[in-house]
Amino acid sequence: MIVRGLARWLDRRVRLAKFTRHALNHIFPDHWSFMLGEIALYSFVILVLTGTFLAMFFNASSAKEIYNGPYLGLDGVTMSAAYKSVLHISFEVPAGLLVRQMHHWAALIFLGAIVAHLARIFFTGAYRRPREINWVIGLTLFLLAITNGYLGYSIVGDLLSGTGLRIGYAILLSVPVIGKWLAYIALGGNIPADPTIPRLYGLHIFVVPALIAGLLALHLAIIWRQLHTNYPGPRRTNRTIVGSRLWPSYTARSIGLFLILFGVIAGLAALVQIDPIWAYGPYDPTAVLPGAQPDWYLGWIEGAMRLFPGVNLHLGPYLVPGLFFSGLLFPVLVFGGLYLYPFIEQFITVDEQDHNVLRMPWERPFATALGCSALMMMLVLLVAAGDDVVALALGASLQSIRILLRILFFAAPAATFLVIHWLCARRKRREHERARADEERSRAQVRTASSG
Amino acid sequence: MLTQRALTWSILALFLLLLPTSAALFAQTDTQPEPDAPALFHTHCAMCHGEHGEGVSALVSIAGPSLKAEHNPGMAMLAIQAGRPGMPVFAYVLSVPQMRALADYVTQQLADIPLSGGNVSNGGVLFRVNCAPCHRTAVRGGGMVFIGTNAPDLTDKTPAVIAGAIRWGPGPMPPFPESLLDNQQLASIVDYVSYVQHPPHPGGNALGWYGPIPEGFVAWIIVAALIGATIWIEKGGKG
Repeated sequence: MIVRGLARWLDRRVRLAKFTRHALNHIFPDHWSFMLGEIALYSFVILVLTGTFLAMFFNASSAKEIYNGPYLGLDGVTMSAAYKSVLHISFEVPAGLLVRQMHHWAALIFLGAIVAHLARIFFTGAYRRPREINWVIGLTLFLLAITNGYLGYSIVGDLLSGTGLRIGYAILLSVPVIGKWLAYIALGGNIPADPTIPRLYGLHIFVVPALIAGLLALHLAIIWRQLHTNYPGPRRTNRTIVGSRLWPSYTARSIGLFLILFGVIAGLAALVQIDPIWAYGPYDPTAVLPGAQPDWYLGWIEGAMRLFPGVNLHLGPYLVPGLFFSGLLFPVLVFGGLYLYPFIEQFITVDEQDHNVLRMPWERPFATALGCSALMMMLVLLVAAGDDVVALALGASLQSIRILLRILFFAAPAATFLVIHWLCARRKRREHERARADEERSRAQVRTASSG
Repeated sequence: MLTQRALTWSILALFLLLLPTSAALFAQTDTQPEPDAPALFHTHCAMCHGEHGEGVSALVSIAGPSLKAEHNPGMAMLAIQAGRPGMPVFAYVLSVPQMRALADYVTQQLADIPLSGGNVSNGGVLFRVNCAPCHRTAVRGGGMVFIGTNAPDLTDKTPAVIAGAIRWGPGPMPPFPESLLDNQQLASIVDYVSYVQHPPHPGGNALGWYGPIPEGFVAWIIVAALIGATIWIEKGGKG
């Protein structure tokens, strides 16, 4: 009664009824793979919630302070105010460590869900016209998420994050001609410089999340407008959509997913430690840490830097260090290729039609094999990012592991391509044969029916 | 009166004076002469442990650790008596008093590295600069991967072993003499390592202290589980 009255009151003023009725009847396809993006979306929600809590206690300052707290291993040690405040969050703030670990785990899962979502879009051809715009926006979101993850663990100021920051600084410096200015603009001078942490913090909690939120809204608005794709099946054509309504069926499922995700992340944060910054100690430019890896989503760049030979290119008076190729050019090429892929495919296949029905991965062996080999290449690089730990675990020398990985960098994607292409082509042939057999059978039935 | 009393006292005094001497005389008859510990050390120990117990650093078989931090006579006695991996048994070679004298000599004369009295957090600062490049966070060894060897983790190392290794530099590890780390700094590092062997580590399972690699692995297991959850949801929560 009260709800109805309130709704009527609101409707008279802002005219919501028509839109709401339309929205509640919006159709979502019934397939699990359409929920991968939703895992990412809800991870972002959890990141914002936990991040807001952490921002209340985090002190974004590079100022040198002396720690006097419950962690005896660092008692009386001079450190950045930022690192000190994270120690405070971890050891003194009620639930501080839990929320911090939730934030970090949610970030890793956010990126994982994005990659899974991206792979689904790629392998089912959902990037094809008319959805190229959302492909481009999605990739930009992916880039922003990687950036914000990096910014997030860089502002903590422990030895591991300082090592990562140092690598980022070196990559910026490696840019020919403008490198020095670029590094100065981004990090405020040779790290750890005073402006570094406040600058990165502003980007981490405001600029990048705002961009992510804005583009996410656009991403969803476009998918709302264009409607979802459908897997091939009965009654599924380019002009129809089959699935459940937003209310109540899809809402229930979506809220269920959010609750599961929140529970899983909270449980993980309670049971499994992530980034024990107190064990690493404060960042000190004279100290180094072996076995230092970035978070997994940056592992492929780290791996590329480790595998790339240490060559420098001299162009006249300018030096182009090897780091520039592996640390900057390679990621730019990877993302450039991803951004352009739908347009290149359109151009090559001369395809100007809208595609609202997905294609199964085996239907286009070349694209599937290409995607799998790219993933395999990323996997090799990810292993290469931890090659020293692999050497430690296997008791082998780093040199032999690195040579093996350099060979695998080329061999594994090539082998993956051939195997996947062969598997898909075989499946495609069989499906065609089955379709032809069905056709023959129905034609024969028609023939017997007409003669009889 | 007086002289008799004086006589009694002087006899008593003489008796008291003679008593230890006679006891010593009696004792002398069933013990050997005092063992010459430095000579014994030179004969039996210096070949592997160095002339002053500083340890011999070599990759060949005859090499022994430094004894500069061996402050526990019981442990030293046990090692001499029963041997250690790579160290022979001396129980059939030396008498008990000789072994005891050696243990005393090692722990009182040779061991001059303090094992306590350091500052834990100062030790941490020194550890990060001097030790972390190979030993990482102490509880998880790192890699001196460029020479194909791995620095061991220090979770089960006793203070004496840590202090000895710092001064002596076993295997590929460089020695850190007093000119690099004074005794106070060394004691601080020993204290820090002992502290982080059982540190307060809140926040759950440490994933073997390997850092971001197992963290990424766990994250992907969870992503896979969440994908499983979406499949379950789309099946209507059944089976």
